[in-house]
Amino acid sequence: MTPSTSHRSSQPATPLENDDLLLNILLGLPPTPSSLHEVSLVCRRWNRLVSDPGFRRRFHARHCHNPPLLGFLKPSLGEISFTSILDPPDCVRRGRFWLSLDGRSHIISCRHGLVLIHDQSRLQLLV
Amino acid sequence: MAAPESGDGNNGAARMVTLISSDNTRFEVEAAAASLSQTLQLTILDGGGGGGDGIPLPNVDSATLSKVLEYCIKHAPAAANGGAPNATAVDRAELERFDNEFVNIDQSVLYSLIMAAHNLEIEGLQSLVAKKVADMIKGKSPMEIRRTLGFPDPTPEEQAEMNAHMLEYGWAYE
Repeated sequence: MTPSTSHRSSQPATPLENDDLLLNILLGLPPTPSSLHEVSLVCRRWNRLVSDPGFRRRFHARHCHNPPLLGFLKPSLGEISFTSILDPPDCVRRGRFWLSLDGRSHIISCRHGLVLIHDQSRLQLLV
Repeated sequence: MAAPESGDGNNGAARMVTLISSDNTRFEVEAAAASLSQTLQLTILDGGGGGGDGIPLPNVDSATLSKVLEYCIKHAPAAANGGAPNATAVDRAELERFDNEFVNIDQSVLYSLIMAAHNLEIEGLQSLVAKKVADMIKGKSPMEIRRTLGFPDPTPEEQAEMNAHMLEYGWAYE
């Protein structure tokens, strides 16, 4: 018995021309905010590949055990503001992560990347 | 991954198999090492590759196969122990050191290894070489990635698209 070493009749010139191999490489990128954005701009094909919801799900599954620490939420005078701890281009600007809480609110607890917030003016609990 | 039945038994030499590269170079290697390849494993379990026969690998040249086998020989003992749950920290550190050195190679060799690891379905090697390329492009701008990977310069159309994106998401780079 002779094993087949390829399932394709023609080989791409480089592994980056094979979608499966390229996706396997891109899955190994770090889960920083700018990672997929940068590679999506390399060319149209890369943009199409990393924009695919299936790829996003696999990327999330690969990194869900070691998510990056983007910053922290800080309560101050009844408001809760976000402060990024990452340098550009991974820095998430305050205005881009605004909780839109217009009244008094406070953080009850946080766990596993989720935050439980009590919005006192609207009598709501937010996760 | 289990070693082949007669792999490294207690009462004799390890079973050997012969692999033949695309340029007709013959490599004799322990069956346990070659069996890291999912593609080869069934053939070897069926008794192929021994004696005067060899297993032809028409898509892998001798330089690449030599490198692939270097990886397989180093990783075979750990793989035979089911991922080496009992491996000592020293063993693991040694494999990690080997892996880091192993992928310290020219881009063309790296690309050949990616193709060979894919064709031969060697899971650990596939992950290792893919991670190496990911490390080469992480933290780089789109233009730097293109240069690193030897892509041609973008067409004016592509450049305009990249510029438009930078304008739209320029806040991220402030």
